[in-house]
Amino acid sequence: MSEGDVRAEFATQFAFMEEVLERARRAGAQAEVYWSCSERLPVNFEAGRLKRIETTRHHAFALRVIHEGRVGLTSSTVAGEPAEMVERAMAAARYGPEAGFSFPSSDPGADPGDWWDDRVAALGQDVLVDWGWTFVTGVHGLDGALAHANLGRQIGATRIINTAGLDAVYRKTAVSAVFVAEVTEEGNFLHVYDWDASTRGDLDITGMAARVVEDLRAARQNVVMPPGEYPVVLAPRAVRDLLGPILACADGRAVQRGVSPWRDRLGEEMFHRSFTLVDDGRLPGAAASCLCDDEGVPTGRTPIVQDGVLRSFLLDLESASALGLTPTGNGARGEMADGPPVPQPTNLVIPAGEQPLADLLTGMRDGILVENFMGAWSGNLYAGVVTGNVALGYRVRGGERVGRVKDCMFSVNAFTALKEALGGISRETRRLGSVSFPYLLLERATITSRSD
Amino acid sequence: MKAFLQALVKDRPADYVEARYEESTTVRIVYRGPRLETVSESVLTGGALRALVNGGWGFVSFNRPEDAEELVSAALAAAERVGRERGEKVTLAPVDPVEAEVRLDPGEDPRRISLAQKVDLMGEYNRRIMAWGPPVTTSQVLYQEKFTRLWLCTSEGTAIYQEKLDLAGLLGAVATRGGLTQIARHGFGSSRDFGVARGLEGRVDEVCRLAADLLDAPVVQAGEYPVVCDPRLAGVFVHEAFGHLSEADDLAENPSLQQVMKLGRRFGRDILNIYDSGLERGARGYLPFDDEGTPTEKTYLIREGVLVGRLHSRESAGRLGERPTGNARALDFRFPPICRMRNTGIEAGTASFEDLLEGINLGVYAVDSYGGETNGEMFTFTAGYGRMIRNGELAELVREVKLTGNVFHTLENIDAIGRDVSTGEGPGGCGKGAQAPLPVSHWSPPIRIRRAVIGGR
Repeated sequence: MSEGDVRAEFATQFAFMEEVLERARRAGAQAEVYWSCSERLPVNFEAGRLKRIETTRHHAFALRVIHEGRVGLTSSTVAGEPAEMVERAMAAARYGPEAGFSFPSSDPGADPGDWWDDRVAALGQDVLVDWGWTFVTGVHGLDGALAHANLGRQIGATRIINTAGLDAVYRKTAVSAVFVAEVTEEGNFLHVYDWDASTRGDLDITGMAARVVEDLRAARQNVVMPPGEYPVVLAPRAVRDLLGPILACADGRAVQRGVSPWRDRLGEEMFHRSFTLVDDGRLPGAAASCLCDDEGVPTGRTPIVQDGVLRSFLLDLESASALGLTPTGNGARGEMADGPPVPQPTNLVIPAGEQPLADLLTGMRDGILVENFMGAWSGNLYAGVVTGNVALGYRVRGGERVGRVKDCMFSVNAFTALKEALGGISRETRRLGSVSFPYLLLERATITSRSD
Repeated sequence: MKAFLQALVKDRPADYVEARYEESTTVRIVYRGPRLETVSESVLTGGALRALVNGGWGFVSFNRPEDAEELVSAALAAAERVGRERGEKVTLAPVDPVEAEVRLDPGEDPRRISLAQKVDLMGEYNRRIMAWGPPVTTSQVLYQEKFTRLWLCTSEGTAIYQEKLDLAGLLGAVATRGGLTQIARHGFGSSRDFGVARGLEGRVDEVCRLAADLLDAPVVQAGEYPVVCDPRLAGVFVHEAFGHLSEADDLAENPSLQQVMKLGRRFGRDILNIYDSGLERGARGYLPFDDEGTPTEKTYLIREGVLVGRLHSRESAGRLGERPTGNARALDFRFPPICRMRNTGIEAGTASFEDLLEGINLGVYAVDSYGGETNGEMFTFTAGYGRMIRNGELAELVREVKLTGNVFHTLENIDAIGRDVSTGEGPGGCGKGAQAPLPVSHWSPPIRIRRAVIGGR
């Protein structure tokens, strides 16, 4: 499917968009019309058995107008009456917020098609069902575990047009797999999982299954972790939780509102020199890659932190305009386009370090390897607090995983930890859908646990 | 619409077919700081169809009616395939077919209030927060209302039309000093009455004062304490820690979990009664019929400390040989129904608030909730803030209160239950899989937990 094919297949939707835009223009407004459609094919296995196959096909339209200096927003899942849609947006604009921005005119250019893969588009139920069976037949019953799997294939297209002359169209494929093994015993629930998503057909299904089996085996033995301060290695899945405070403070709207304490700190060395964090909207294969954000701004590579120095915020049109900065292509709407665009990360990358993971683990005389947290997202992010239950973690002594630690809480201040306690970055990295992270060694973290 | 859906489910080669169609309109108003950030109106329209063939499910969802017939065929083919490869028959627990119309029975009907009036009312609250002055530096005021018309038809003859309202909001004050930011907030919500959004000036003043005071509060010292939870946190605890474990779809697939969750097993002391109910008019979790057409009820999960029930769909009830409880819920037409909660609460006990504090030399009173998570056995959730309890009395304010623990030990450790149930509602909702936020309620009294781990430094 080329761009021309998209225009032909969705001619009705495109004509609707153009009519809405034209009516808004005639009503004296600047306007932007957004449309996306996606067809998903989710396949679900539960407890070692195929459970459900779905097909979903959804369209979403959104109209944003700027009229007499105020913004009005409306969305709809159906191409109904263009006049009604314009009326709703104009009504919202009557009471709406003052517009601090204008719609961009510069086109992101033609779709290079880097986020489309014909092999993924052609994937049918059969392949997804096969992947699921491969995993569940290999893992279900192993050590008493139940095996669950969710596979999915998605094809979609997006178009954004505005009265400044922008007309951006792209199409996209994605495939995803989530593999879970679950053990339920009196006093010992264990969930191990692995997952990935890609715009390409490059999922490592057997590698993911093997990792679940490895974790399942390693986690069957529980060991006690007395409360105290320990070195901790965070696996890529757990690294995302550690980044929560950075992403909250680098959010352009939070900076604009003054909730983030970082407004005047661009250019400041805030983290360890070995630490770099990049938002990359065009990372090949990564799940969030695409041509432009939901406001039509081209995606790109935005270093948030480079060699320890705060370099950029993630910005949508409004926050960029308010802060006098250039938008970074991070304006994202909700899934059904039912909310205003707000800054969201695209793909997040922490570049690989130099040390082998084995050395990081050996370097901890007595520490914890955390695979994933539970509930670590709900703290006071602007204060840097990351506190989470260790959902899956191992006590590591002399480089060896000696058993699973549970019923304990991990706590650090992410800002100080990434400045003063970052002891090493692994050369191994993992892609998990829209992130690519190495393992990070923190030299000190607080572990709180039960006394009995 | 009824005829359209009846045609979709009629005479199909399947053991069971159900079709839903939904039209909803959502109004959203957001103030942040001095700015009105969003005024929007969204229309969400679409249909879904689910088919069961030999124990296999096929599900489709669409929002162009012209896609319906093609996708119905896809659902039937998918169900047939799953049924064939699955090798296990599923019998849905029976429910009587229902023909019903449930019209909205509003208190003050938000549909009769203009957008301008809503923007003004929220703007008044916002101005009041911003006028508080330092250290309150910014605000967050959210208002959202969703009105839904929902049709459901099944191949068994059920045909239900429902009107639903879900209204929720938040008034938040943000205080900052140096690099420190603290937030305090008041939530409101209802399934029938705009009146809950009125007259909240006193609440605004409370949250401003609290946000300011939290800047001076120390971070709670990590460790194990006796903890008294306020009604809101107690409600979120019982939702997270026991409600999710009681959702019988996971249980029906997991024989070992069935052993752990055997009816008749003791989970708590005699004083502990936990229920889930869709009967409370006005609660966000009010639900006359679930998305399989099962009428609602009050379902006891724990009675006098003993497990007596769980939250069923027709499938989970059929597989466990139990009775459907009206808990099969779908977020909207994009998803199939799964086992979910409604209004989950702890029943009132006999303790006064002073009784709860009595005898605690050093403990924590944990207030409000910023959400939580559980894996069935372990839970963690974040309180809005806390107060230390010293010698049986409330003492200084503390911040960053995050509780973690083992669900089973913690339930055993609930040793006192307050007598005053809060029917407070808040914004947000429950998440399970990709289906979030689903409106739920947690009406509870305050509770005392003998020992709980509080994380931090």
